[in-house]
Amino acid sequence: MELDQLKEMWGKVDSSTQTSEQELQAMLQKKSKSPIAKMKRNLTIEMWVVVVLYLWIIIDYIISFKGLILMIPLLFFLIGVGFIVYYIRKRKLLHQMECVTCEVKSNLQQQLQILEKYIRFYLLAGTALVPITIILMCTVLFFYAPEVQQVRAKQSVPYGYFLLAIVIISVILTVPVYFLNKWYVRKLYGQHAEKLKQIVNEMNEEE
Amino acid sequence: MTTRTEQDFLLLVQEHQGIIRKVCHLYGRNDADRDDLYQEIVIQLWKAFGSFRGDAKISTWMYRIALNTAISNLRKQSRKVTLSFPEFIPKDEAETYEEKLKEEKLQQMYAAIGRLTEVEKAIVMLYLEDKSYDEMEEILGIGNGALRVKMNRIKEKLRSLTKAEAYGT
Repeated sequence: MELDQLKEMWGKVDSSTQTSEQELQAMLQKKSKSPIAKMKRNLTIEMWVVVVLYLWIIIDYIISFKGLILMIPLLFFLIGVGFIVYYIRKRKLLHQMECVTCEVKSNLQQQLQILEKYIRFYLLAGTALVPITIILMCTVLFFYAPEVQQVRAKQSVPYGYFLLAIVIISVILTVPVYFLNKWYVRKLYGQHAEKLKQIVNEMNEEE
Repeated sequence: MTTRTEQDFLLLVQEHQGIIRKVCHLYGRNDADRDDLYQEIVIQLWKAFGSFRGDAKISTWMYRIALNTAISNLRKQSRKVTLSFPEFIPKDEAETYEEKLKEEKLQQMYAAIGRLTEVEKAIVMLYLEDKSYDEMEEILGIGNGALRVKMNRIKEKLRSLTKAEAYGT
C-alpha cells in the first residue's frame, strides 16, 4: 500500500530545512494576510475616511454658512454616527468570525455562519441608508430650505404630497441600490462563502 | 530585543516547525505560496500563543492553527497545482529497478494527494503523521466513525488517482 510507504518517509521531515530564529522573528513583525485580517484593515480605513470626510463637511458648512441652518450639519452628524454604529457592528462580527485554535470543523462552521450574517447586515444596512438619507434630506429641505419656504409661503403644500414625494423618491433610488449592493456583496464575498459552505458540507458528510 | 514570551514562542516553533512545513507542502501551490502560508501560520500561532493554557497537547494546538489557517485562507485555485515532491523524500537514492519503481509510485502518490480536497488533504496528513482517529477528531472536529469512512474513501480515491497519474491522465 503506497500511502503506508509514504507514511514511513513522512516521519523524516523534521530533519529537513529549518527556519532560523531571525527569520521567525522577522515574520512576527509582518501583518497577517488572511482574508479576515484584510477585511478588518479595509474596514478601519473605510471608517477613518468616513469620519474625516463627515467632520470636514460639518466644519466646512458651519464656517462657510456662519452657523445658518444648523439642521444640515446636525443631519450629517447623525448620518456619520449611523456609519460609526455600522462599522462597530461589522468589526464585532469580524472578531467573532475567527477561532484558529478551535477544531477545524467548528471554526469553519462559525466562519460561515458569521460571514452569512455579515453579508446580510452589509446588504441591509447599505440599502437602508438610502431611504434614511432621503427622508432626512427631504425633511430638512421641506422645513428649512429658504427656496422651499418661499414657495410654501405663497401657496400651501399639503404634507400628504410631501410624504408621497419622499416615498416615490425613496423607492426609485432604493430598489436599484439594493440590486447593486447585492451584486457587489456577492462579488466581494460570494466566492469565499460558497467555498466555505462546500468545505463545511464535506466535513458534515457521514456524520 | 526579544521578550521572554517571544523567546519561548520562537523555541516552540523551531522545535515543531516540521508540522508547519508539512502543512505548507500540502496546501501551498508553489514555493512562493508555501512561504506565504508558512509566514501566515507563524503569525496566527503567535497571536494565539498568549492564550495557550496547555489544555490540549501542543502538537494538537499547532495542527489546529496550521490547518485552520491553510484551509480558511482559501486562496483562488490556480489551474496548475504544483505539489512538489518534498525534499525529505529521497529522490536519487534508488539504485535497483525495484527501488526506482517504488520511488516512482511514491511520486505518483504524492501528486495524487495534491489533487485531493482541502478536507481530504488534512485527513491524509494526520494519517501520515500516525495520529489516532481520536486525535484526528480532536483536531478536525469530525466524528471518529465518519473519519474512518472518509479515510477508506480517500484510499480508494488515491488508488484511482495514482493509476491516472501513472497513465498521465
